[in-house]
Amino acid sequence: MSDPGRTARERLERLIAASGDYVQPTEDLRPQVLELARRQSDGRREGCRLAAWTLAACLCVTVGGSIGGRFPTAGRGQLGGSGQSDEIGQRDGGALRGWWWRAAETHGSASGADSNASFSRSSSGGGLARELTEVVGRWRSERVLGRAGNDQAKARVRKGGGPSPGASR
Amino acid sequence: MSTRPSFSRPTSSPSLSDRVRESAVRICESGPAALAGLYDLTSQRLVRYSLSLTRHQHDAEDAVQAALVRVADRPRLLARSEHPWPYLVRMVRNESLLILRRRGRTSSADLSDLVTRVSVDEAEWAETYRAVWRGIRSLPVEQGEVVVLKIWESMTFAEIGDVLGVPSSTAASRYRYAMEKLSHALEGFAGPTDASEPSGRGTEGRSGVGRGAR
Repeated sequence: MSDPGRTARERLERLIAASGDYVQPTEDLRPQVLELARRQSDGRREGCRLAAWTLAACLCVTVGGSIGGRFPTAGRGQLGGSGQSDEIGQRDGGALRGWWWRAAETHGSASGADSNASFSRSSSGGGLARELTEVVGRWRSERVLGRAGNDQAKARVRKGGGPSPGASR
Repeated sequence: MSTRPSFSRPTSSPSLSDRVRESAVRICESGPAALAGLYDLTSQRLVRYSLSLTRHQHDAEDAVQAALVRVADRPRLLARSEHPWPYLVRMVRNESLLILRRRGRTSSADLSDLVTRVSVDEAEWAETYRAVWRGIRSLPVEQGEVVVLKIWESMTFAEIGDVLGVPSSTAASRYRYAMEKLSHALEGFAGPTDASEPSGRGTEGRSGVGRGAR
C-alpha cells in the first residue's frame, strides 16, 4: 500500500520538473554575452600593453638618468682626463640628462613649484619616486655647477684668456 | 565576487560539473571565444535559476551575462573550483542579488516578461507549465530558489545549503513549505507522466517561440 501523501508529492515534483524547459533565454543574450566578453578581454589586453610600455619607459628613464649622472666621472677616469674625451663624455651624458631635465623642468614650471618637490608629490610609488628625485637633484646640482663653470670661462674669454679644458658648453 | 564555496559533499551532478570545468579550461586555453561552449551548456539553467530570484527575465539575463563575463575574465577560478557547477550557480546568485538590490523591482506573478518555448507535442501542457511558473513566482524568494535547485538542478539539501549559505535543515524546511504551497496552487493540474527526468531534454524540435505567451 503506497503512501498517498508521498505519491502526491512525487507527482507534484514530476509536474514541476516537466516545466523546467518552458522558459528560455532570449536569442539576443548569446551574442551579447560573447561580444561583451570579447570586448572586455580586448580592453584588458590593451591595458596590460599600456602598463608594460609605461613600466619600460620608467625603467629606461631611471637607468638612463643614473647612467647619465655617472658618465662624466667615468669618462674622466677611464680616458685619462683629456679635454676632448671629457667634452664628449659630457655631451653624451648631457644628452641623456638633458631629456630628463627638460621633463622635470616642464613639470616644475607647470605646477609653479620646485620641480623635485612637485615630482615627488605627484608620484605614487615611493621607492621609484625617491630614486628619480635623487637623480634629478644630483643632475640639477651638477648643472648649477656647470653653469658657474661656464660663467667663469666666459669671463676669462672676455678678459682675453682661452677656455679651460673640460669646461661645459 | 563571492568567496570560493567549500562543499563538504560531492555534487549530485558530476557530469555537469565536469563539463563546466572542461569549458572553463577551454576558456583558459583559447580565450573568451570559448565562452560559447559554457554558455550553451549552462545559460538556460542559469537564467531559470536567476528568474526564481529576480522574478524578471531581463534582470535574470543581466545576472547571467555578468556572471559569464566574469568567468571569461577569470576562468581559472572556475576551472580550479572543487565543484564548478555549484560555484557558477553561486556566482549567478550573487549577481542576481546585486541586481535586485540595485533595481528594487517589485515582484509579480505575471508571466508577461518570460520568453517561453513549447514543443508541438507538449502544447497541451502549456497551461500547466504556466501554472507551475506562476506558482513558483508566488512563493517567497528563499523558498522558490530551493525548489528550483532541488527539482531542476537535482541538488541535495546539503549542496543547496552550501550554495545559499544556510544549514541543510533550513533548506529542507524551506522546500517542504514551498511544496505545501505549490500543492495547493497546482491542485487539479495534470502533467506529462514521463517527465521524471528533470531538465534533461534538449531544445531540438521546439516551436511556438513567444514572449509572454498567454
